[in-house]
Amino acid sequence: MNGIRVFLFPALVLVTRSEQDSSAIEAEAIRRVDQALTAWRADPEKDPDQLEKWLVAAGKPASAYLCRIIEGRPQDLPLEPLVMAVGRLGSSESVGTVCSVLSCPAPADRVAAVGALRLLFCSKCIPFLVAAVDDSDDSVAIVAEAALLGEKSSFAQVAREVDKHWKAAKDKSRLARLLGQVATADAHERLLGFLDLPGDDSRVAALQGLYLLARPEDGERVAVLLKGSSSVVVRKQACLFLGRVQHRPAVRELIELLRETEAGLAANAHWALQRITGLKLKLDAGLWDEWWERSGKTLEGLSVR
Amino acid sequence: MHPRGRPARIQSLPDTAGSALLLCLTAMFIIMSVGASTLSVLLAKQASVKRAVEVDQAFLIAEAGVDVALFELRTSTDYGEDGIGEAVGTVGRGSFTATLIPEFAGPGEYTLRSEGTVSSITRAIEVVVGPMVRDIGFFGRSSIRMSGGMIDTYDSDLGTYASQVGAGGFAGSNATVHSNGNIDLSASAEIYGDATPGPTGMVTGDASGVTGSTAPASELVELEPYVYAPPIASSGPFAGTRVFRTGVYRYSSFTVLGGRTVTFDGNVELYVDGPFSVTGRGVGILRPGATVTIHHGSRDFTITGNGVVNRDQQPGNLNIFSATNSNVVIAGIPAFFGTVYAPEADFLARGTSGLYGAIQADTLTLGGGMSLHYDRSLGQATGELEVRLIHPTTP
Repeated sequence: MNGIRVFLFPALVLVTRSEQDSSAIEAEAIRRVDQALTAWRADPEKDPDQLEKWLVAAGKPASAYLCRIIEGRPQDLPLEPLVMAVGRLGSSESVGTVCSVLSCPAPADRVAAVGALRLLFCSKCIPFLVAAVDDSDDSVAIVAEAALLGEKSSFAQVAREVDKHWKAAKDKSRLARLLGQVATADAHERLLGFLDLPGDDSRVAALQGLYLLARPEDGERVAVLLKGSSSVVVRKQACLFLGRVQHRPAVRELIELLRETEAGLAANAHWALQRITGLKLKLDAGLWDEWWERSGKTLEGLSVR
Repeated sequence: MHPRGRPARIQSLPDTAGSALLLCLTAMFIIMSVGASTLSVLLAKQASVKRAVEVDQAFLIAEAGVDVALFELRTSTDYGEDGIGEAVGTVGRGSFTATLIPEFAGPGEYTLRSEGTVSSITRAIEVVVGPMVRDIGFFGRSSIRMSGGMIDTYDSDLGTYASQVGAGGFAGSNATVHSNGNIDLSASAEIYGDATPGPTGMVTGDASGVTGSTAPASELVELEPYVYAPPIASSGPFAGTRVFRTGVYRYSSFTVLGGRTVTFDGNVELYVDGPFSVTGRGVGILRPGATVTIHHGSRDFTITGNGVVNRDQQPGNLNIFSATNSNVVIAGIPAFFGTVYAPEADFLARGTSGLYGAIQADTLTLGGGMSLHYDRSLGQATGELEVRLIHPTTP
């Protein structure tokens, strides 16, 4: 019994001392944060960058206290430097608080939240960052996209989250372009899958993502849309993809599109034809027909399917 | 002889005797007739073909004359000592004579007439040539973002914008919106014309409102740098009400707000080294006939609130050149008629009052349903000649 006491007592002392130390450290951090906030309130210039620096100087133990302040949504303090400071302090327990800032109305606060998530990056951040790519404010979307394309990111999880978010997305083209930049086989498959979904917005967005990937093997799949879709905007986008990957079997169908009354569709088809064939013929279906009859159809890879 | 002394009866020839000859003669006649007529048809055809070939050759030789004359016009050099755009020469069996109407007198529109002659055949063609004009349109070198609103074209030389709006709610549909990067469209933005991203860029977002091409450009377009070089000393900061008459002015900053009014009368050159702002209840007014060129050095250039009123509604009368790498903001209540050339600036336009003219900047951000109307009369001559019309004519 005495032996146990001999071992337990120092252990208890150590634990108590460690708790006392950590609470002392946290108390010191809180004191420094409060000091920084007081100093900033008194500062006539009220430079948010300066506040961020002071808060970061309070150290990692200040994270929990800063999170409590952020959750209280203080009216007399800008959220931006507080959120960025939490991000820089790097405590993974802060992720939930930072994510909650993504629903704030001020774009600057959302940009800061996305910036902080980039610093705190972990798998928990990915769904929130994917949602932020669809933010109505461009700057939020751009920072979120950069975070998701960073070194720490799991591209497989990004592709899954895009898939989940796709139907509800306000701007599908941003998500598609994200997949196009992710450029994994998984992302590619999902983009091809979006081509089959109903709605022109899904198809146009998927084509924009595929345009970034620019895989020649997708040519046949996309060429189907030239005849299969009645949407001008889908066909215009398909022309651009086919031109980009120089999909030669689509030439005959592209020549037919030169007769379209929709000037934009004819112009895109013309661009694709010039890019595929290397010819600089005018936008004149008759001229292209003549070229096709004389030599075009006999060239390798240009035969009609 | 007959033995009884009677004359021997002459054995008469059968009735058909000689008919073969007749038949032969007839056949020969027919064959010769057919042959002769075939020959004459062939000869006629040969003559016709020869004539057709010569007509073609005469046209080709006339075209050669046009080429020679065009070369003289393009290089502004007289190679035949007969005047620029005038040319005489021979090609194979033929010859050409090209004449310019009117006589060459620098850049302008001309009619080039060239006659080609082969044997006795003469054919002529007329070619109308003039200076090539490049539409400036709306150019954002790094990127263009457009949320809502529309972009179309009109020609202020032909009247007001309103007078050129058709049943579709827009005027011309040959707008050029061009960037070396991406063109991002959202909130049902409409472009009546081409949206041309850079060679590696694309039109992103909702491109359904683009009526023209969305294909990328084949090469990058560079903007000439603008160098701010004021020719006079600064008069310090300006803030207040004043009438600027014909002359050159320079200030370190320019601020018009709170019910102040600046009026421009005559031909005014205004240099502003630093911030330029016409905001709130401040207003700038271009009187009828006034032409104003604003040269801006650095920091923000802002026209908001009551903005700048261009009485003549001629975009060419208000030209803004800025060397700033900061913001150029146009968001006034009245419609803005003018041009902006700010190759390093972020250009922002928002509001619903409309912008008439042309914009060239590093980035263009158009929001709040702002509509832009490119004035085609602002097209810049490229210094090159373009062939506008070719047609055959009687010699």
